[in-house]
Amino acid sequence: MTWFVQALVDATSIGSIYALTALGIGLIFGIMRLINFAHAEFITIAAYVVMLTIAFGFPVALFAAAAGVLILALLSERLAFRPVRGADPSTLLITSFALSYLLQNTLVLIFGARPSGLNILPELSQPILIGGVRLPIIHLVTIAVTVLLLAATGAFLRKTRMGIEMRAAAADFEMARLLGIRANRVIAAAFGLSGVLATAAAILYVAQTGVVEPRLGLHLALIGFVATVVGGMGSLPGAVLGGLAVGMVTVFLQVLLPADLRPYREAFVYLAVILVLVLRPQGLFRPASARERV
Amino acid sequence: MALLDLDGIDVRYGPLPALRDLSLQLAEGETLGVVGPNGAGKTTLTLAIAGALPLFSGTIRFDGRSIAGLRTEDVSALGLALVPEGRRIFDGLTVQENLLVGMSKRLGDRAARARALDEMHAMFPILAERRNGMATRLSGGEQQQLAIARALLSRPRLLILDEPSLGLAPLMVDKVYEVLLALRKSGLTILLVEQNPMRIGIVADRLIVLSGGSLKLQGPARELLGDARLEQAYLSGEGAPE
Ligand SMILES: Nc1ncnc2c1ncn2[C@@H]1O[C@H](COP(=O)(O)OP(=O)(O)OP(=O)(O)O)[C@@H](O)[C@H]1O
Ligand SMILES: [Mg+2]
Repeated sequence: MTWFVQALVDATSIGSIYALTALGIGLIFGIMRLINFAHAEFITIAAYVVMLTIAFGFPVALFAAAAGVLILALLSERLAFRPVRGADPSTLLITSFALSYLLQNTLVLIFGARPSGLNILPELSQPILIGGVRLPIIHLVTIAVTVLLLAATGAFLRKTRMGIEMRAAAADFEMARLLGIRANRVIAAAFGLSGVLATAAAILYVAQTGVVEPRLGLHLALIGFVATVVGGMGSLPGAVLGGLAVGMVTVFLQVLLPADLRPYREAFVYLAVILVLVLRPQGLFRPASARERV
Repeated sequence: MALLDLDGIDVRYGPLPALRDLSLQLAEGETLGVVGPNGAGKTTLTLAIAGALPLFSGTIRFDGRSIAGLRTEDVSALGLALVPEGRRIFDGLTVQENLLVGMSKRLGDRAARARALDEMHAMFPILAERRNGMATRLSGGEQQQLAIARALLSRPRLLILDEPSLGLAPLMVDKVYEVLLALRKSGLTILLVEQNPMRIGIVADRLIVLSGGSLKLQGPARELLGDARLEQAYLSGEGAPE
């Protein structure tokens, strides 16, 4: 029983980070039909900003990373994505891939390809004992922060005018514009929000792993993409649940697979993903009634 | 001066012409009916006027100001509202949220916005009753009412409707036309597209017949409806422009 609770907390915590990543990616996809590969570098750069500023204390590093990535996200939208807005999907895809590649290689140029250690909040890596189960504090903090951020994002999307406009734009962008919704503002806001979510994912992830490297975000974003597909492209709750599901499957495979199969854990995860796509191409969490949007 | 003035507009989808050298005027307070067979270019016309399709050539003036090349949202801000073909209700939003998206700053302060919403609820009681329900759960006729209310909430000076009665139960068509008559009486300028010309005679002052992307006939609704040439335009113009 102890192992189960431990694994469950572990899975929820890593699933939380995947969920935040998937939400950031899903938000942009929903509105622009753009698969933003550069979301990976939003995450990586947030981690590097934290590394460079952590000497001034955690609050400063947090603020610097959030502000830095927010600006980066807005600049990407303005300089890279706005000029190709409305172009065919392959153009969008290539643009986003090119931006991601550019940012990643710039990072390698500046910081080198080797990983660096980064201990953000050492106190949090201590375990605490709850009812005989040893749980790393950072896992509980990750879950709590994620719940807060998801609740805040949900409230923003449901209760604020901008949030409702974003959802309308995601449902039918042209119709939203026909009703006077300003495309540039809504898209910029979505990029800003996805930048903030990338920062949160980066900090929580690095706080767990203690390592920063130029491909850090790539790993997370890849799983984020998988999660949005599993959850049903275009559905934000689906993206969140998809992220959680991928985290669960990953951790429980790690625990349950025989030792000699564990190195192939990822292969099993992707096998599960393929199964999902074959059996439910619309995604696990997309209501069957949801209409296809072209 | 005409409120809406189209002068020789051409609209193309890639190399394919959908509207050719089309000119028309719409006076303030007038209701213009646009009829024509499938593929005549009616929807193209509504989208081009509303600023969602670029012009290949020609000009569109609204209230004397050229609107060709403006962003879609800026055209809307000038006071043009579209009830589009297929209604295009926002999926995943409640009835009330769909209405909120339609509300523009032109309405004024909070109190004025609340009053405008109340007006819509009075005109379409179903939208008040179902305000917190998912909009796409409404029936076709109810969705059409929502699409009209959503457009009206921008306080438009010109309301464009594209086949608002398409696929609706007869009772719902009655309701839609009842509302259109009331709007017309209130002095709103209306451009109403229908494929079936019969019903349109009740509300339209003037009628134009579109076929193969160009204007085939125009005149007072009463005269045209009895005219054999109207049927002729339908028969000869069947299908897309070549
Ligand atoms: N997005 C598009 N891309 C290419 N061609 C299009 C597109 N939309 C419409 N067309 C073509 O333009 C022509 C005019 O179409 P439009 O939809 O404006 O006609 P319509 O009069 O509204 O027809 P309906 O009565 O069926 O609604 C048709 O030949 C149509 O096939
Ligand atoms: Mg049409």
